[in-house]
Amino acid sequence: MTHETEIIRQVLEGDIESFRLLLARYEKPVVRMIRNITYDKESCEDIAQDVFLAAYKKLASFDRARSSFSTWLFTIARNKSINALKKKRPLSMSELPEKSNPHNPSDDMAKREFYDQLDKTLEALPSRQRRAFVLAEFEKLSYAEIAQIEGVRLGTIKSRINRAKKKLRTALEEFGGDVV
Amino acid sequence: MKTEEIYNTWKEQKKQIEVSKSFSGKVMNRIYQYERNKCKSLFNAQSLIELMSAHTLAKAGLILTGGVVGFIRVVFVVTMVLE
Repeated sequence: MTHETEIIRQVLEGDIESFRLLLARYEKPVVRMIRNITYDKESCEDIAQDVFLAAYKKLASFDRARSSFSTWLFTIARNKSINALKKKRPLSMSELPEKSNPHNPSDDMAKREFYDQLDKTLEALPSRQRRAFVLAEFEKLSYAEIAQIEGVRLGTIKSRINRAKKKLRTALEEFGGDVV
Repeated sequence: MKTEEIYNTWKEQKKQIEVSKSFSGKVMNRIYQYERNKCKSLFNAQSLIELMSAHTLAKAGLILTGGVVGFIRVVFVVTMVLE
């Protein structure tokens, strides 16, 4: 993106205020990504602040021939999220809510239960699968971009996303549905 | 409502988040703070390491300087031994 390249050039030349333009463009995707990966509503913005500060400090090392700015920024966010997760106790599958009897998700209560079940299942996924799923389904990144962020092969990403979807499908099936 | 619709609605909900209005201000404050500290301690070891790691030319310059200094030292030692 030429405009973005121009903003980065301005920041590197000392126009610190231009960094606000990058912030305005990426604050929401970065905070959302961190929140959906770490499931930490309280500190996701603090982690995102660290991401942008790190991006500012390392901006001179950003090479647009190697990746887009968004991929580069998401890679920093991914690394910070992993560090935050290491400090947090993982949720195991055994901590998922009690399986209720299949029912028709027609009312608000039932829908809420479905959302909660999906939330808990996503949170309990292995971190790698959750990251790949979040980047693909919520941030709409291509598999190639996700592979670059994760530093793995394209096939590995496809496999992680498929496994994540399968687990979410299973969680829904246990609640009486079967379509993901 | 079918489960597919529920799944899609859930995904849409997960995309809808609000970032606090003070967020960008906090980040910019930290950046300005970082710049002030950098000016204060321009010549300390930490900032030198950060500078080196961020700039390829600086890294190359450091390696080149190290090489030249090493070479001069070897020449000096050899000269001393020969004398």
